[in-house]
Amino acid sequence: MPPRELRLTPTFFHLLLCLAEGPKHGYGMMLEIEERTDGALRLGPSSLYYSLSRLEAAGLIEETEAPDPAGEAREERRRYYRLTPAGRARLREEVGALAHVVAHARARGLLAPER
Amino acid sequence: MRDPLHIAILRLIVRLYPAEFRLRHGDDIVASARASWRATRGARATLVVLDAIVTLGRLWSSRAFEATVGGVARRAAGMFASDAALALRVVRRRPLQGTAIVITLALALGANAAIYTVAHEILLDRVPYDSPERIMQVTSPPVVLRLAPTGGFTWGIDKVLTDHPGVEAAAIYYEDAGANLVTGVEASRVRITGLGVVLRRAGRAHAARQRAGPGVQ
Repeated sequence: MPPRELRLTPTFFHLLLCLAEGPKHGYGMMLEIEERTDGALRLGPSSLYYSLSRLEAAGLIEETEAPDPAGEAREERRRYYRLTPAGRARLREEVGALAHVVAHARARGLLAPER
Repeated sequence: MRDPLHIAILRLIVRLYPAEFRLRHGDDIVASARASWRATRGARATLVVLDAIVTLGRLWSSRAFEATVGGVARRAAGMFASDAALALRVVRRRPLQGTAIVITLALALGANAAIYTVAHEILLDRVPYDSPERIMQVTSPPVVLRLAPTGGFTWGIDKVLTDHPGVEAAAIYYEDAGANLVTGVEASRVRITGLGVVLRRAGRAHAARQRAGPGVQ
C-alpha cells in the first residue's frame, strides 16, 4: 500500500526545507530551524525525532550516509537524512502554494513590493 | 562526565517509548539533548523534559489508534481494495464468467428488493387509524411474554384497537403482571391481574377492564 498522505505542518515543512540543500543530521536541523524562524519554532529533541520518523514513514525523507564520516568523532556519530524524490516534489508543491499566497498578499499591498 | 538531572530524566522517559522508536532514535534524542545543553548551558532543561513527555503521549496514543480504529479501518479498506482488484482481474481475464457473476448478483439484489417491497406492502401495512404514529408501543413484562407472546404491537392488540374506536393503546394480559401503556409522549404503568384487556382511551388516562379478571390497579 502506498504511504499515507501526510499533512505538512510547519514543523514538517521546515524539516523538509532544511534538507533541500543536502543531507543533515537531526540536531543540525533543530538549530537551523530555530535560527531561521528567530526562535518562533523551537523543537525539542524528542519531537524532532518523532517528526523525522513520521516524515520517513511517509516516504518523504530517508536515512543516508554521513557526508564526511571521517570528520566525526565516533561518539558524535549521528544519523543523517536526505529528501526522497517524493519529498522534494512535495516541498516544491508546498513552496509553490506559499509563493502564490505571497504574490496575492503583495498584490493587495500587504507586503512590500519585490525588489 | 555525569549527565545533568534533566538528561537523566529524559533517558528515563525515553525508556518508556515504544521499542521500535526507542531503538532507532533513543540515542540520537539523548545526544541532541546533551549537545543542546552544552550549547545553551542548561537553559532548555524544562523544554527538553516537557517535550519528551508530550512525545511519549503522542507515540503511545498514535500506536493505540493504529492498533484499534485506524488499523481496523485500514485493514477493511485494504480488504475492500484487494477484493475490488480481484473482481476487476476476473472480469478482464474471464469476461464471460465475470459477466455471469455480475448478472447473477444484480438479479439476486433486485429479487430481494422486490420480495421485501411486496411483503412490506401486503404484510406490514399501516395500522388502520387516523393517527397511527400516535400508537407507539405496547409492551408487557417477561412473565407475559413467556406465557403468551403479547410483547410489542401484536395482531391481538391491533384487533382490540380496531374494535374500540377512540382507544390509543391496549395490552392483553394473561395473569398477574404489569404492562406499560405508551401513547404519544405519555406513558403509564398499570398493575393488572387475571385475564383481560387494558385499554387507554384517547384524551385522558383511562384503564378499563373489558373482560373478566380480578382487577386493574
